[in-house]
Amino acid sequence: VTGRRSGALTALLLLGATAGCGGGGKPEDPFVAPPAPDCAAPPRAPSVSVAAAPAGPASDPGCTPPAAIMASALPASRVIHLGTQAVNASVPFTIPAGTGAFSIILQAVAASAANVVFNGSPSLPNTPVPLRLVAPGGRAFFDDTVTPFPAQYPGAGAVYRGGRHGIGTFTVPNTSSTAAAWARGAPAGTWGLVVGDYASECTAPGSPGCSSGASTAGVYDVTVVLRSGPVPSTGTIDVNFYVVSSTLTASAASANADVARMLSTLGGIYARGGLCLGQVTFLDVPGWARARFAAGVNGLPSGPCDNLSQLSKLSRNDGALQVFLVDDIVQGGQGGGRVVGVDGAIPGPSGFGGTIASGAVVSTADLDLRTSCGAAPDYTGCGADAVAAVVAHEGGHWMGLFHTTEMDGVNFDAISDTGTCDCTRCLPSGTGCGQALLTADFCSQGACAGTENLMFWLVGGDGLTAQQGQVMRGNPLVR
Amino acid sequence: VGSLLLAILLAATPPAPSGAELRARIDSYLRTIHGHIGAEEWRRLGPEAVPVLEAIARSTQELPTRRAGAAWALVHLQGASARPVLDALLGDRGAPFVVRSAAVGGIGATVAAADLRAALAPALAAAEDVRLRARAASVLASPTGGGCEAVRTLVAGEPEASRPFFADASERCAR
Repeated sequence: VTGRRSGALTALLLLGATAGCGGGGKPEDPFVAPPAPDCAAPPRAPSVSVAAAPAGPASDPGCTPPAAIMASALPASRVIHLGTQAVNASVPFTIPAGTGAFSIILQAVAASAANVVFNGSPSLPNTPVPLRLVAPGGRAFFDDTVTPFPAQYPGAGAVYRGGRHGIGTFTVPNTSSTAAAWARGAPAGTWGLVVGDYASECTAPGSPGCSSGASTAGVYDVTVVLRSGPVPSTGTIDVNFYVVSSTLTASAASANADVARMLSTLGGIYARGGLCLGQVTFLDVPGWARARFAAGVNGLPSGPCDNLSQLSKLSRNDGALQVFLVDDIVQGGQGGGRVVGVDGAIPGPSGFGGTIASGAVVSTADLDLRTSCGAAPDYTGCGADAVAAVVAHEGGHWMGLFHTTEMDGVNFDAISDTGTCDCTRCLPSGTGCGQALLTADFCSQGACAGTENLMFWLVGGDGLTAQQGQVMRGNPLVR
Repeated sequence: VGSLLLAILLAATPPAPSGAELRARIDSYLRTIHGHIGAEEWRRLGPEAVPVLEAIARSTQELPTRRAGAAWALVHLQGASARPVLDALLGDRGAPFVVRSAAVGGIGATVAAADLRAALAPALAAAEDVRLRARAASVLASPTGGGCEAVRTLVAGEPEASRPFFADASERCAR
């Protein structure tokens, strides 16, 4: 699979297309993992509290898109608000010297097409994109119409997959090559951003064309947030847990033994990436929200009024990782299919609470199973550990990590020190790409690897590599 | 030509796994985080997967989400023949909500609309858990459920405090 591919086509591939198996090698690891911090000792020990008031409005506000534009909750010195911009607008902004990483957050002001149908594709949500990003000196840094997809890695300067209906987050560095190049900070000076969305990509030269949705009417609020200083060797992340349950409250959760083990296991996993848990806050949600989502959150994204979006809008606008703990996550209305975790977007809009993409949702259905809760984590026999692994995985997505290997074995992250399980060499002979999923048994033999990693597509691994830790600690949420 | 096509088709379909390989495959499928294991993937495992999945679905030693996933997989593999297991899970008042909810979804996927209300009766009358009643109502309210009249009757009979739990079902019926 080579040649030009738009960001929208990238999204299409992630929807499950499996034609072609272009797995590539990964360059050498330029990083050395820092020693894991001691997160149990002061001042790094987590602090647990319960919010005094529920999060979100007291009564159901309903849904009338587009969602309200949120301002960043991060300190003003780290926020560059670029105002309202139409698609194809070229917007300059200045990255100060010593900036380790930055995020661009695009929020829809005026809806253009709700969905886009590229020729021969299923309908895709019209997602804002950083169409082009030019570094100081005029060097092209990112182009959403030509950026190599991870399957063509190495060589990608950045990867963008951070959008949903009407909101997108682009956090860099998120590849090995750029993380290495920016070890002492991002290039300082004037950068240039061209704002886009899928609807406008339909109209771009070289586009595969669209059967519906082509438009250049999109208008977006644009903000750049900075990670000041180089990426630290250790960092701290605050977490808000919203308890959306009919069997647990925020207060009860803060005193629950299974929740305590979940937090301990989560802290242990993140310590491998050089991260400690800081302020952990449990929050209730209003009664209407608890009742509405009690029988199961529908995990299928379908637009700005879907369950995930409406839950995410309840999040506080602060600098914490936002995690909604729910009783169940179902896939669709009738069926019995379910998942255990889902993110609003990858990465999340760090420092922008209250948007439709500002939350990760995790099922607590397994929390109190204690078949095998010994000294070491057991992700299939101890429910608290299983939930911790899912929270850690979704938090990893929020902070910019992709699956090391997707289930098709065709698509991978753009991180060079994570294991790869490529369908062209990891499936048994006689089984072609697209004929089987890359399950743990295929990915744990010979040169096929990655199952031990937290970001493998299946739960069970808890490893984080040096470069994954670097990406996570570069996220604007990490202090 | 037909034989040739059949031969090509068989060559393109990997043989169903067995033994340890089968168990490993099932274990992986039940460990998905947010990936969707499609019906075709489950069916490729073949009939030998049924007793393995049934044991997982019934086991109180397994994670509830794995039990729920196994129950749903049985629907893909067995269709209406999965009904005895689903009925048993739904009727087990000690089973976690997510397991009983999966049974409700499975029954909804395997029972004809005309018989659905009766099949879901244990859930619709589940006084111990309003979530189960709400889940069953959502299944009845789905396009293939055909039970919006029953949903309206059910919601009308619920205490005022419980009605918000039925928002999903009510919205489906309002469409």
